[in-house]
Amino acid sequence: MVATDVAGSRTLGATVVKQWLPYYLGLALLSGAASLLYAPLSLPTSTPQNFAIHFYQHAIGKLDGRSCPAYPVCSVYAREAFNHHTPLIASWLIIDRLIHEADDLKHEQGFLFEGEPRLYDPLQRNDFWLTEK
Amino acid sequence: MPFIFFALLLFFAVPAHAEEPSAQVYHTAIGMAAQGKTAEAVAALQAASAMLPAQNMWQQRMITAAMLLQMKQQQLHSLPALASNSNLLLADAYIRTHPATSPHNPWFAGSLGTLFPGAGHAWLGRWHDARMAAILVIPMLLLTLWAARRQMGPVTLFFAAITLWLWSGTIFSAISLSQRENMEAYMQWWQPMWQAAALSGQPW
Repeated sequence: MVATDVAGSRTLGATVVKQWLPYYLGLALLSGAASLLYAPLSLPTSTPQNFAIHFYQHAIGKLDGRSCPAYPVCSVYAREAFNHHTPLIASWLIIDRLIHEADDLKHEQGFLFEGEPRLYDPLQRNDFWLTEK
Repeated sequence: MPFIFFALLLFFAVPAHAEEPSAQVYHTAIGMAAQGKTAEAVAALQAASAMLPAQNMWQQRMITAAMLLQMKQQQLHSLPALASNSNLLLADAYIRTHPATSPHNPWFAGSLGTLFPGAGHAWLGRWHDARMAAILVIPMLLLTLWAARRQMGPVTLFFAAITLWLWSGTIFSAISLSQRENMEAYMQWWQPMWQAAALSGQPW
């Protein structure tokens, strides 16, 4: 009698798991996905260029030390450029930054940050003539 | 004694920095211009000045401020209209005594950069940048020519695409630096003019 009851409850448990678990997991995943709608999905690695910048900042950047003498640093500048312009123009703005930063630091009054001279060179300083039009 | 009492009462009862409405409008517009909303600031100043009586001090300031902001927008080196009030006369006197430096032509810098990588930067006097631009482009250019000579097909195309991207980037850089230097030189000339015109506030 007892053995029959145990076997019956096991069968019932297996049936519940088999029949209802997919629905349960489906609902759980959908709820999790729906909860992400509270904010726009702008993940840092959502585009190839942002992935490259993210990879540089978090993997390569820590290994090569601080080499950018400007503020904001080149990777942040690049991210801003990609956020405000088309990929081609953003890549040109990055080339421009890489070309001009050393000369600017020689001729312009920078500021000292942790004992090192840095140049204040925000994106607006270089792309104002593109955004004016 | 009663006179001193009333004088003290007035002194403490009236807020020291209470601004009249015209001054508030003026300073709000200057604040907008400082945030980069020059067109909105000009519109606000022109509309407010049209409502004030002629020869009013704030009307004169508003007309002058609107005109100088328009000048900055178009990077003009002379007043867009004849001086008609004391502030504008002061600005005019500044312009006569402080000739502006002639700006670089950005498209000429770009054309030079098109002829030879870095030539545009060299024309701007940025020799270090010129070297950087040449170092960036010339090796890839030589590699492309080498691949083309050996008829390497898709490899040539790949190198050519990178050369095209880098070269156009250095041309863009020459144009951009020229625009930036022109704007910064203009602002160095324009900001003292604003102060010479006895205008309050800093729209920068």
